[in-house]
Amino acid sequence: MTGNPILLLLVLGPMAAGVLGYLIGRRNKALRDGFAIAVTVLEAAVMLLLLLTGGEVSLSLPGVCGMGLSFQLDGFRGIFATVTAYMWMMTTIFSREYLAHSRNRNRYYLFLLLTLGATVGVFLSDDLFTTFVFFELMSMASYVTVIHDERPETLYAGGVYLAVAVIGGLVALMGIFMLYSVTGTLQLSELLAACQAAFPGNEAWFYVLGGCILFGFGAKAGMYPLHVWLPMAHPVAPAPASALLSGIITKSGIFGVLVLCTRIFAGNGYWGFTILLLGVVTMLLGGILAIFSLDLKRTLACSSMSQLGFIFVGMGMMDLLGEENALAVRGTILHMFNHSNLKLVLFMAAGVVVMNLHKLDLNDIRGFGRKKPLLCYVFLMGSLGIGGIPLFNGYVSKTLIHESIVEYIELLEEGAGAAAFAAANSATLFHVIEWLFIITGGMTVAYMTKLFVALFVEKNRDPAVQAAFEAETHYCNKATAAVLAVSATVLPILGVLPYLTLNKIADLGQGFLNGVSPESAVNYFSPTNLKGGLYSILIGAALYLVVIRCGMLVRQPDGSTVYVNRWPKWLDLLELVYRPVVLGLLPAVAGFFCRCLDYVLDGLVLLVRQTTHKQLREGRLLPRGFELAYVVGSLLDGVVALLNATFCKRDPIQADFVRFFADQSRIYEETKKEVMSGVSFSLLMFGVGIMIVVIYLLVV
Amino acid sequence: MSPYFILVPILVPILAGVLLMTFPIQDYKTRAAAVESVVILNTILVFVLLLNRPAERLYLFSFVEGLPLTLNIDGMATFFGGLVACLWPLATLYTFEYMRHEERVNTFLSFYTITYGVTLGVAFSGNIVTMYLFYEALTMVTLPLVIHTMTEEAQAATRKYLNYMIGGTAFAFIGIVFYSLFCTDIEFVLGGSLDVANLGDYANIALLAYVLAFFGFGVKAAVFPFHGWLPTASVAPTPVTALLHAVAVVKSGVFAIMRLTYFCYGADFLKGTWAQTIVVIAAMVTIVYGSTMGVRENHFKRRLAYSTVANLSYILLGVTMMSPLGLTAYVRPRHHEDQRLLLRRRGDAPDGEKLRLRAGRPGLGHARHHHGAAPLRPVADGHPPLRWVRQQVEHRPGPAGGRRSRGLCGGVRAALFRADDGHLYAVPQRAGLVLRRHRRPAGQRPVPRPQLADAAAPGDLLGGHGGPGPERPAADGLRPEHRHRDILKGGCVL
Amino acid sequence: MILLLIPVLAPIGVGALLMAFPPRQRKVMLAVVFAALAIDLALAVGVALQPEDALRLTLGTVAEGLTFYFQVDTVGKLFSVLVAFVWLLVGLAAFEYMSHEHDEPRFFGFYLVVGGVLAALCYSGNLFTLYVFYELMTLTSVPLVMHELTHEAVMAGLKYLFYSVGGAFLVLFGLFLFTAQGADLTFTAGGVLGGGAASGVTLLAVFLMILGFGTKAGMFPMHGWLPTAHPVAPAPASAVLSGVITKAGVLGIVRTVYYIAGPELIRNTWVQYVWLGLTLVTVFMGSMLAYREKVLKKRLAYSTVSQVSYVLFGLALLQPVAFVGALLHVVFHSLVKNTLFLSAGAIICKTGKTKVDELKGIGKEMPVTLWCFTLVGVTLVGIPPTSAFVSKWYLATGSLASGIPVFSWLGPVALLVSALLTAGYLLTVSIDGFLPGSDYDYAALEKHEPTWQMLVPLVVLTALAVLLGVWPGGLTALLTGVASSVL
Repeated sequence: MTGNPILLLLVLGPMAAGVLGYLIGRRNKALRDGFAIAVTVLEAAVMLLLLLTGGEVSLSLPGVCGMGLSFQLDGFRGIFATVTAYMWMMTTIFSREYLAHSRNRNRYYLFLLLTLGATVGVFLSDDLFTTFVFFELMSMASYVTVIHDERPETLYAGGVYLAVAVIGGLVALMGIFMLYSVTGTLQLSELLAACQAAFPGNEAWFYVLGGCILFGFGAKAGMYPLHVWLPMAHPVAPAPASALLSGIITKSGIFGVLVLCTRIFAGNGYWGFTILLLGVVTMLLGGILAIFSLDLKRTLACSSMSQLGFIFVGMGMMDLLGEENALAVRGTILHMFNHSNLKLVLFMAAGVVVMNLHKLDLNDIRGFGRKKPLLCYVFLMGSLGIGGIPLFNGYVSKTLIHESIVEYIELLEEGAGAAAFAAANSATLFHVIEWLFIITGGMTVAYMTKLFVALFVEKNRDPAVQAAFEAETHYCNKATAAVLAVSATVLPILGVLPYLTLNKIADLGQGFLNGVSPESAVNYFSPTNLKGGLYSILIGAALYLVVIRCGMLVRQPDGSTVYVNRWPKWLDLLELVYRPVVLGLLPAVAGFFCRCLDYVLDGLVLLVRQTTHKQLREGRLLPRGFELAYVVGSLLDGVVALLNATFCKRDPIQADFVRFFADQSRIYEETKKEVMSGVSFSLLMFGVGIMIVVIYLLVV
Repeated sequence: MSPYFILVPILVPILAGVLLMTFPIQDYKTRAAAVESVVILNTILVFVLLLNRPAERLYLFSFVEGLPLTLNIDGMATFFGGLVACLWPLATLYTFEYMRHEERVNTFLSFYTITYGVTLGVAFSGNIVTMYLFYEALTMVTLPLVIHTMTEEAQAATRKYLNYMIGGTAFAFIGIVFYSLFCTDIEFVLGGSLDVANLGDYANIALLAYVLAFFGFGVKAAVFPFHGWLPTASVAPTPVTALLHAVAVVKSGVFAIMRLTYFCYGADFLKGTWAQTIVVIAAMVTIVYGSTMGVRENHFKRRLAYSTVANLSYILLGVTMMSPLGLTAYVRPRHHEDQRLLLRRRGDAPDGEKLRLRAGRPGLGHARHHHGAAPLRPVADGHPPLRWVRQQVEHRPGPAGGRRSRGLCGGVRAALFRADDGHLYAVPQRAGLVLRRHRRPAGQRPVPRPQLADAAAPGDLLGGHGGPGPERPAADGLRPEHRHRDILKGGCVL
Repeated sequence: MILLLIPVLAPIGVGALLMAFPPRQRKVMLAVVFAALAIDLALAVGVALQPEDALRLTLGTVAEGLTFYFQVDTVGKLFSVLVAFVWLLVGLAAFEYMSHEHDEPRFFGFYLVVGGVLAALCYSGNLFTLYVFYELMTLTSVPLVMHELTHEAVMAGLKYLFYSVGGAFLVLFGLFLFTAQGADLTFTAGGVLGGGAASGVTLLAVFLMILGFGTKAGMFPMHGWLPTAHPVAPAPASAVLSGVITKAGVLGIVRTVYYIAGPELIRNTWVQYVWLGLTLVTVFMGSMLAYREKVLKKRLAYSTVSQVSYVLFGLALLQPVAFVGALLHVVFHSLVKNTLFLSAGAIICKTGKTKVDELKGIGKEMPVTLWCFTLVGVTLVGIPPTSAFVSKWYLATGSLASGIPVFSWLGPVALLVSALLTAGYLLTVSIDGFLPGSDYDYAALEKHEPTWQMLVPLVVLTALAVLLGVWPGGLTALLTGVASSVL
């Protein structure tokens, strides 16, 4: 136990508090809510204090959990631990009102605080073993918060979430085993050097272990092939839980992938390009799904997936750019930071809507936001931020990542592409990627506009419902309002003064990712950058008008317009591929194979018992003396019966061969006895004997 | 002690038998007392004889100048004679009770006692010819015992018994004649007295003669091709089968083979030759065959008969190893006791015939007279493996042939134990466990019966795919043919 | 010295007396049993604390070269303390479970006798003694399986008996071949044959002994008895049967491979590869069949088949780290499996539900029992902070470091796939239990929590299973010492 125990307090504290809160909750519910909020506030305060004092704090517990745990608090990890604590504080306050009248809140708060401890543990971990330990704990604990209301569809979505988490965890574990077996260490500090040394020998081994770890952490970060749980889990989870889920828990997945990109495959072009491609696909798919989704929280979930795609692109560029990846590094950090804050605001706003209406479909909640200035302000800030509109925090990080792509294209044109393989060298491909980047930015603007317009601009189809919406002014209590307001105003502040806030955060965090600050400070509001932002807005507007207004809004016979879900029902990766294969095909095939193995020895014994060791039955003893007759007779009788049954059905053969042969053999026996006993027979035998002797004498 | 004293324990029972036949005693009590006292007296005489062994041989007379009849007591004789002597009184005591309800008891008992004398004759014979004489006499004397019940089945069994025995001794006679021609001294000498020097090109003939003699005597020792008479002879009354299986006939067969191998042809001459291979293979095949048939057989006494066939061949396997210590296989006494005890146990259920293990209604103990868990000493549980291990340790690796064959037979033996013990375990297990019918699991566990059957259904045939197995008849009313399937599902009689 | 005999003879004696003169009141009997078990544990710990060279005892000679010889080394101490500890706890849990059953004196009698025999098995110093007590254990544990004497129970008992006896004879054949080599059978770390090229027959002998002892450990070809014996045996009996008695098979294999044949004899030979193959097949097969099994206790039986083969896989690698992982998993699996079976027993005893899909909402009725079931289930799946993760970590890293061509990476893959299946068949039970869904009518809920006699063992075992995962230091150091002496 060397180092500052404060880190242990930060990680285990909330867990212990969770258990304590559970016990308190059995007696006094209100006290428990207050206690939980107090814990999260304390955690956030301590974390902020540690971050601001800027001291490098580390702690290692050798031997615990087998390999020993080690924690480290430096710039990057400090930032995200603080963001974690900050978000937990906000959501816990919000969930007090959100879950005011639901069952099993004790369980919810217990697992909420357990997840907090685990997530902080992940962010503060200094070696992959600790990361994995808390990563698994976080998966397990967050599962319970997600399935809080236990409705059938919630349990179904929770099941998918847990399955992806467990499968991802185990595959990541396999990757970590392989890594440990080849490098001998898991400490993040030593990993870079160890991997550089071990890489030349066994590239294939490294790519396989990289793939495994990417599978595990990428699943949690909603990467393309494993994103299926994201759009399903959020609509069913309680709003605070889904805010945390998409806000910070996905970032723990990103943390794992960052370790891969900056430690194990630092500056590896192939790897960078793979991450980039995955990022682009995730980004695009997320955007498309978000546009077509008619469910408020599902849209936000798909938007999270798209923003995570941006982060993956950033990480891909980090490896592609190699030494000059300052822009990509800062872009990635800032986008993670911004996305967390944005999603916190947006999900809480959605939570307020769900809290009042208990409905999520756009058609039902249409027009709820009118005449609700605070909600409108909060949602606007969130939408503008995530849309990448200048003067808001989203714009800053998106511009940085966009700039990193542009810089890489310039590098390619000068022929100094870091990646030594042909595919990455084609500048045109990167132009396409740049344009896709901008288009996805536009998509973001489109679907946020869709939400904003549906909630705050349009009127509900049913005027009575609309009147009720507008009449309702008290939609959340003071505390929730305060939380919403505070978290919303943070976004423009970050956006307006990037140099003071975001740049500081970027400088603080880039050390961990071996990034170096760019020679010249990035001028966010330079014409070229603004032009990029403008393009996104234009594309967004165009998309909104064409796809959503025309495509999805259908005029009903009674004149009102209804949003219609254009996304084909069957086109769902989970139901189409994963579920049938994982739950249907594999268990069936493997199950049959195993059942055969299980049955091998029993079957063998049964076979032997039927053949060589067959139990003799008394009844079947053949009548003495007539065995041959009985056997042949019954054989022929069988043949006769067969014939009667088939060919000569009309005139069946009347024959009982057993009796026939029995009679024959009896007659034969009697005659033989008579002949043998007669004198003449013995004389005959005597004659034969003499003849043989005479022949023998003559011949031999 | 003068050598003539050897003759006394042989003649006393014979005379007693003859006397009993001529002056039959009707009264059950006096008859029993008389016969038992004679037998005990004779046993004492034998032990006195064995304790202070006469030094030289007793020469009786000789048929022709080269074939003397001599009696002698050496290590082997002491061993076999002592064994027979101490087991005979027990068997006789048992016979009185058993034969109380039969008729012609006097003739039975007389022949029973004469057999005692003749067996001792086989034991104490000094040379191969004398042994052959007594060997034949033994067959003749045991004949009336087998045919005693005079049923049609008994007659068929006796006819078969006679054919086998006469056939067997004919083959043995060839071996003896060949030996007597080529041996330096006809008397039994450890290591044999075959003058191998001037055998010259007759060596192969000598081996052939040995093999023939082995199978000749092997008929009595129930070696595979010629074991047929043993199971069929089991229809005879129990004391006879106990006598035939455990003490007199079969053991004298094995004794004869030992004499033949170690005292006539000599182990060194036979070791490593093709003869030894044949003989070892015959013994091994018998072991496996005996055990397999034991598992198949349903009739209780016939099953025990096959067990004897198998156990005898353990001894023969030891004998045919030809290693110097093969002779000191202590197996035989072990096998004696448990056979007699087992047969005796079987005997006391009144009607020997119906002792078939009626499939589906396991457990003798369960039958009418409820003498509870038949305290069958688990016959084979006397850890044959342990006793065999000792044999194994003593056998330093013999010639290559021995090693290879032992390796092979080791495997066979291990597999066989399983089979052999398997079916024997089944008997005591079933006999011992009085099945509690209609046992509803007590206590308030509201487990409805069929569900228990399902829940507790051991991996059904299709390998435990769970869920309610195929609807089975009420758990305990199992029809016989489901027997083995069901055992397999619950347990398996190998 | 004599102290060695007491932990063996005391339980056997008490057990026999209990059966011969069953006390009238149940209370007296339970007190006697508990006292015997407690004393046995104390003695086992006492013996374990003695220095190693003091613990030698030659009892008698059956024949030249075959002596009853007791010699306790670290492995023996570990196993004996584990056996005694689990015996006490499961015995305590059995008090309540058996109150619904009949013939309790007979059950507890045989229960104690098997405890004594297992202690002797752990203390045995040469292969002959081990073999004798191994057979004795089979014979005395058959009545435990057959306890309910229904038709199924008797048949399952017979099947258990013949599988075990069959396995024992395979071992016997190996024993013959070793005595024929003229080797002295006392256990010496690193093997008695003293190097030299292994002839085909010796390799065959070692393989047969592994297969024979593997029967008791539920390895692939001879595992048929486990899924049959468990559903019919009373829960405490099946807990002990799969938690501890399978470990006797493992102990047999450890002694044969590491103390008689010696790892160098079979390294990189067909024996090692076939053995590795068998264990991996068993690991996968056990988990898959458990995943598809509907009856709870049978599912746990198949899970035992799979989990014990984790241990055998570790042993088959002949690698120090994997050896440590294997022995760690022996301890952890024993704790976990006993808890699982005891909680299954509690569920059956209180609610009579045996099928898995009947267990919806059981968590509300029996919260503590199902919390233990869940925590232990999570441990078995290998979620980090718990104990089985540590042993799985050692097994996997040992396998990858062993450098055996295919098996070095195939092993961890099989372990992880099996872990996934374990999650499939254990966590689903917990989820159904705790999360019955929003339409579960809490009004009709009535508690079925078992009394303290069952809860205390459950909680103690669960706590150990989890906490040993967080602080495995002591145990790992002990086992690393053994590994270095043997490999």
